Amino acid sequence: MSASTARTPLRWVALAAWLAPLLAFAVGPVVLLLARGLGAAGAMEGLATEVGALVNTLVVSTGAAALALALGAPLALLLFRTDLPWRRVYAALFTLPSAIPAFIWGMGWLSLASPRAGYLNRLLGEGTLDIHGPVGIAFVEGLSGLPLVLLAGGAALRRVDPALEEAARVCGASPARALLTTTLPLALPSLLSGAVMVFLMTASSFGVPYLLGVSASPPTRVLTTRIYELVLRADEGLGRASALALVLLLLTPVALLGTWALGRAGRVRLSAGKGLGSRPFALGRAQAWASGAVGLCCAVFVLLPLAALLLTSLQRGFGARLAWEELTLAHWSGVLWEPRTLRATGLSLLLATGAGALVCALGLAAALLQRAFRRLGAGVEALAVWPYAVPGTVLALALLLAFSRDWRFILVERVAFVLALAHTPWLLLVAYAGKYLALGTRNGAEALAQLDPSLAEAARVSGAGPARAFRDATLPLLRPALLAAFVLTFLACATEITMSVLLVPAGSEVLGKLLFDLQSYADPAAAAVLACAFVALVVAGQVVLALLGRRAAEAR
Amino acid sequence: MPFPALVRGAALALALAALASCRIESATPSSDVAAAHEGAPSGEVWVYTSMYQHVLDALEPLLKARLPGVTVRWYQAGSEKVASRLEAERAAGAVRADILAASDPFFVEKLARAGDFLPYASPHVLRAPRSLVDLDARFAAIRVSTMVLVHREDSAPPPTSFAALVDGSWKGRVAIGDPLTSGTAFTWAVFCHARHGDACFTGLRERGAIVAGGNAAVLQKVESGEADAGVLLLENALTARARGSRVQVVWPTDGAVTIPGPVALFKSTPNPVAAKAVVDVLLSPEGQRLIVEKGDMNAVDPRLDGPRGGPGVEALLERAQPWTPALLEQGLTRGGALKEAFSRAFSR
Repeated sequence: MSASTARTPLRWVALAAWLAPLLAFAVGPVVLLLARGLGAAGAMEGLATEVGALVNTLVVSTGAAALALALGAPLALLLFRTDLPWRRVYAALFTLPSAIPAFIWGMGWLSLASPRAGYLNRLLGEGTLDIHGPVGIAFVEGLSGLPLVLLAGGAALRRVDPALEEAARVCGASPARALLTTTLPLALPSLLSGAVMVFLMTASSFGVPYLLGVSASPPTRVLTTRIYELVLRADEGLGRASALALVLLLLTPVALLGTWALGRAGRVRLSAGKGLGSRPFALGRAQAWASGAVGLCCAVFVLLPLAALLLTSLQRGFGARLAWEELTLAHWSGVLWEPRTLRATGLSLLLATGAGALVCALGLAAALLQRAFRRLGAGVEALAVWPYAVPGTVLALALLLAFSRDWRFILVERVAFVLALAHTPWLLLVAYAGKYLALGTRNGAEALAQLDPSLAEAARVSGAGPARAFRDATLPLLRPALLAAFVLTFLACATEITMSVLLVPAGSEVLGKLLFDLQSYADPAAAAVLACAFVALVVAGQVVLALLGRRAAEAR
Repeated sequence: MPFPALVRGAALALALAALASCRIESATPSSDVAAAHEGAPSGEVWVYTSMYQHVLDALEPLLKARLPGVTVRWYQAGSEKVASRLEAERAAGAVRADILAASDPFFVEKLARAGDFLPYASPHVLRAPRSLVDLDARFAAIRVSTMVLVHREDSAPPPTSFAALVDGSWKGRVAIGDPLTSGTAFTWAVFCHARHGDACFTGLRERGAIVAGGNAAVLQKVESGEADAGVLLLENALTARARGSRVQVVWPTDGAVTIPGPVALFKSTPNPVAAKAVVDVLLSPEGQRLIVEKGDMNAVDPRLDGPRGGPGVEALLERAQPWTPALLEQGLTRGGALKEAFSRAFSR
């Protein structure tokens, strides 16, 4: 420790150097936005549409959370506690929805259940299903949030002490009763906190509500789509948009408080678990039924929308007659090699790589700072993780307002440093890196916590300097975690829509914005091609992650 | 573990990168370089426009040939985005644009009244119909877009007038643009409201009209059969037909709605000579022909035919509902109330 006390001032320099960009590019803009929103909230009139948007947001988000819970709880039980055949495959398939942007699921359901042109409606009769409107939005968001509930429930079910269930059995309860009266109540807090996350995700999502809400009759406007409209309406819109952003931002701490309370309740009771593998519950004769139900769910909720996307991408135009000779690959060759797509892909990949690298570097720095400052460490972590909880629309709006004009830093009244971020892709990079910093910080901190300091100490004893010891001993061991953070950030940024739509400068294009434009303005068939390519990219990324995970497990 | 110097290094490098990304300028206000541009037009001209990118691509070689010394830079985006960027720059007191070539007559009128424009009458403008030119020469139209009715070839009998959509004499579902986000849809809504009052919006709502985002979304709804008919820009329909789409254009009997696309010079331009030369090229017969042929829009030069052999600008204006000062006033000052009325009617 004597070495680090000698280094104390340098430690503070490092903290300042880490804090400066974070304060300037994430905290500052949001605080400015809040101040502006508070100022505008007082002078607002004609609030009727805004109240409607708030009510819609709450209704849709609650609906999505309820759906995810209703589907996720039984699925978690079936997939993680029973001897259901193929349960690993199902678990992998059911986690797919959260890896693919919700907007793509929305597109799939739109081509399935548009009132007239949707495939299902052409089979079942015109107007049977209508995906437009609040119910449709809640449905799509609920399905795409399903993995949050499922994985939270699965983790909790594995932690439950099997002794409790055995005790219930000894007291004479049937296996099913034991499961429902002991295990389920213990896993419930985790399931509920997963549902709260679905609520938050839905409240802050933009793509799906826009896609399914604008053309509904009556049009369904939620807070995020309303903010988008107001930003477009330059004049008096921005003040109002800031006020709405304030409301949206307030939903986050409330919901997070709920998660925290639920999570704490769950953790206290589960702490007895020793991690003993509990025996899977034998389904017996119900196995066929359960298997059929899960398979049907999987086919309808996961595979069907993706198949619909593929079909749409092969059609001459959406709504064309369904026949073999009407299918064409023209869109595939047309869209994928169009200069616009290539440019958008190039910029997106560049931005995603940059954001991934920034997230890894800043995240690792945050993790190290957290260690160096024992008590302040929690503050550092909170600062790094906090933007993740801010809705994308709010963060983008904050950056848009803060950097709408050039910032001039004048030096000795002679030289001015002009930071001109407005209408440049740099603003996107800032937004991506800020939003997903949490991924780097969490992964870095967790990997660092598992690391034995004796390795670095051994390197120091052998005569390496602190930097050398870090590079040779610590960094190689952190690599899998950092790589995972990089891939996650990369995938999230390459397909980001919510922030891109607001921040992308005219004249350049990113994949998320291109997908949004093609789907909402141009050609759904062309958009479907891009969406299929997205899905392929995400699946490939997930495979890489899975391989990484396996290699890390082997290395241990 | 000792605190690694690496973090310090990385953080410092980041800070340096941030500084390096800044542009370096002299902090003392520069004396005006603008006065230098006399004689042959040269230098840089920024044009903010909502014209389609493929039209700009076609105009580029013409501008290069006519004005070899001038570099034209485009900021191309939807008319709402152009307006919002200009508003932001005006608020910051630094408008970078030299020329505005928008498609939102209300926004241009607003800026003209605020005294932002440099009066300039291009010699080419003398032929254009009077209604498309500002008499104080603050702006002049370079193109005219038209809102018409479209339907799918194989659909039931299409509506023949805009009034039929509102009063219920035509049964079927129509797709219209969203006046809250699309400038052209807003202009159409102003005309509709002027003629039918609030009944325009409630009538549309009762007949089950679908509100789509922008013009392309309307086209998409009509093409896919989701809607029976649509209110759409003529140029979008013509371009779609050229692409092989099966949409048909119907000229409404109660008059199409024209949307002039004005061009204007900003008073703050540091390079008025070159900016005026660019406006001249846009209004020249060659520039106008490109707008017709590539953009499928009407030129303001009456000697040219309309897009795809359609009516020229004078015949078009006879077929269309006239722009009146009252209409302009309505859209300019009561736009917010109109949007409010629209939202109210459709949220029922």
